[in-house]
Amino acid sequence: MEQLREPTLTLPLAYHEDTPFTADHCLKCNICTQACPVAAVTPLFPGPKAVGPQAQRFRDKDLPSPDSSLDLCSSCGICTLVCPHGVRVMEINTQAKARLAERKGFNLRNWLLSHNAWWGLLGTPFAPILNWMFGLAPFRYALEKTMGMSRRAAFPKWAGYTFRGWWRRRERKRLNAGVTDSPTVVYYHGCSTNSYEPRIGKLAVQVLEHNGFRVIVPDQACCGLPMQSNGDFAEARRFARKNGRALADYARQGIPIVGTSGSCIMALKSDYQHILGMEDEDTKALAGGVYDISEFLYLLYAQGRLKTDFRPVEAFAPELAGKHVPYHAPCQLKAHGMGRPALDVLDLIPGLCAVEMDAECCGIAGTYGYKAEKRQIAEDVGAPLFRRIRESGLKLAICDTETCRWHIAQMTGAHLVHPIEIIAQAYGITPEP
Amino acid sequence: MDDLIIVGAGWAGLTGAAYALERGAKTRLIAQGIGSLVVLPGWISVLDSTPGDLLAALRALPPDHPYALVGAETTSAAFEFFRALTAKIDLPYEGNLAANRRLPNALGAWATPAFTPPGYSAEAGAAPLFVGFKGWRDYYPALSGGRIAWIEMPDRPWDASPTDLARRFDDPAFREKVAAQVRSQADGATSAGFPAVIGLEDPAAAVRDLSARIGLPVFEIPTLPPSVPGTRLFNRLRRYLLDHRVRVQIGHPVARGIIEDGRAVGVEVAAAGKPQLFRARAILLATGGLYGGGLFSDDRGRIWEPIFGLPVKYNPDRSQWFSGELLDARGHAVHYFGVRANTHMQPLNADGSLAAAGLYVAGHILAHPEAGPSPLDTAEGVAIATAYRAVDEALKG
Repeated sequence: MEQLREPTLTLPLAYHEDTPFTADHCLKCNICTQACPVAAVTPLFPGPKAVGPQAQRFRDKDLPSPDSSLDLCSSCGICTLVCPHGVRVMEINTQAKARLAERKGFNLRNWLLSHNAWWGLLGTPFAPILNWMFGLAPFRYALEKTMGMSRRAAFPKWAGYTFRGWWRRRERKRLNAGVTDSPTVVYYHGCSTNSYEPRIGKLAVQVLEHNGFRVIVPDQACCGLPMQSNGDFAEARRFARKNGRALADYARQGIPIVGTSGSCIMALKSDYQHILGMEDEDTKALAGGVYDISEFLYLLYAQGRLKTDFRPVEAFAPELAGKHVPYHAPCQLKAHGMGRPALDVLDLIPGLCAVEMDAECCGIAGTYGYKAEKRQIAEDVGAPLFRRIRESGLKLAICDTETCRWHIAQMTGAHLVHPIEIIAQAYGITPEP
Repeated sequence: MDDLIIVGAGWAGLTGAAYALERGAKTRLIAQGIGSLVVLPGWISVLDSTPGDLLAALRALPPDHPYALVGAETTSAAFEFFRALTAKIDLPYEGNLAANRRLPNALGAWATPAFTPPGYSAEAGAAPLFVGFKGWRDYYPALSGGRIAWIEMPDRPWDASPTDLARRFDDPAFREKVAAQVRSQADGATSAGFPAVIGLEDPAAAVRDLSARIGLPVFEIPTLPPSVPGTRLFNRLRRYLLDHRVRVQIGHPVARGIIEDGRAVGVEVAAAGKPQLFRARAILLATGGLYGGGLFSDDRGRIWEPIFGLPVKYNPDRSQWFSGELLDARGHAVHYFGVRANTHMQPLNADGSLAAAGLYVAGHILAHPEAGPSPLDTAEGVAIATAYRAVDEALKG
């Protein structure tokens, strides 16, 4: 008699394994398509529904991708945010893009763009020469023709010193400061603060200390997001493991890990588990223990623990008084789902009126807008935002993530600041030398 | 702390938020995604099947109908508020409660909403010309009527969605290309009907300009989703809310509502990394019905409200949920299920007692009486009126 096989026990899928199956929730309503900033500006991209849940049905891990239009997806994530039915469109696309990148093989340009942690550090001693070179039109032209890095993209300037270097020197001076029983907080700086904008790190540290915290800056690694965005999941996981080893223990001890780069913090909060598929003790500890700095400050406020000795805006930036100061909530920040803590904290500054722009994405999308073949899209996506900022006449705008700030600044001529820069100014805090 | 948290970004949530900000309330809108605005035609159905005076019909509804809970006069005020709002955001809706309008729809029948945005307003006249793009599957003019004109589809590597075409219509050069083709096929038509794609940024100007170039009144006809008229309204409403510093948080669902001592005090959002808690003095649930995700159902005949666990009025006999006819004029019984409310738009238990203080409900989440009009005939109107009333009550404290 034929032996009936035991029914296979189906365990619930891990989040990232379940992601492609969320395509089953797709009603083809096209809400994602009408919201997609890339589909809005180029006919070459069929839209998130088409390359996401629709194409997913034709994807087989052993076969080539049905088409390459997926490459134009910027992974801004607006599609997932607007989908009312729980289709994880952006995550489906990001996973499919990684497989596409695997098939295409190594790409030097993408490797360089995603390892900005390394050439950020390597370039620091040569800052003046490098900054000069990157300002030279012929050099940028050559870079575009050979490497495909757009000559129009806003590369940041090397600061000439690193945040970590400054921190080490500062800590050495404080060695005799003695034990303190202040509450402790870990600061996660990220690559761009380290090499390009150490000033932001200084202000973050000083603001946290102003609020009675002892800040520690342990060894840490690049969050890995640029590698993930360029499809190199294996490399991104290496960096995720490094951060797990370096930081998860702090999270387990209940010491908050606070960062000033909204995108890096999103990687630690969510991408490690949900996109890279790493579900272990370390990634879980990190997910619950990391905070964007505005999120952290507003949490303190809600607990009655935030110093609110802010000067009114007339005292430190009179040109902003009575005006609507543009705030751009980057797609990486919206993905946190934590609201708009930057606006909530800025609202505590008397006389300051920051207003969120109705732009979904500024266009740079991490490293996307640095690529010559995507440059025009990056400029077109952000065009309505740039116009609004220019029309405000203020020459200032606020944004939580770095490549967005550089892109918007270049396209508008405005000065772009992280919320912590305004908060520090309101406290009367200037960056230590 | 916020004065008001609104859960849901559909017709009820967005118009409720716009009213709340007018009342000076610190408002936060949280939604798991974009609501039905972007897939519905963008007009306001008040009482689609009622001939004649709508205000009189509102007064004659069963007392437990959402319009009756709000009150006919307040309902009328809600629509006035909505019309004034749309004028402020440069998308002025027309219409009144004296009678429904009559517009051709894509299948050659008549739609009868009460209030319509620019684009739907022009009269078709005795001999409308229905214009379609060759090869475009989202609108087929021959289904609308006998007099048709075909125009060339712009060259694209992929299918164009209605929004893609709408962006083309924002360009005067494109409008001229279209107008030229229509002029040559107009031949005694009294008007030109287009799929509803005439402009995204400035539709009123686009329609006026296209009409001038063709030399005929131009009207729009709803297409398959995404709805461009709905998208126009959504974009403008969102910008209006942001400009007035309402927090608009779209993308993460509310996992559960927080009740302390019988009072709704906040909501917990399923955010990245860890849940996020938001507190407010009052909470308005505008999460929709079964399609919107405000109500869940299973194959065992259960229906429930997932955020606060509010009691739902429904028939547990699942065999009674659906009519024998797919396109039953009365809709299906399942569409009438929902949360009971009092005249203050507060949710009620089955015995009529208050389910929780500080909590309000509006829109399709509400129960509709079987003796009343089909919810499909009143969708946007009920959303606007009940949200308006709920916000008023919520801000009284």
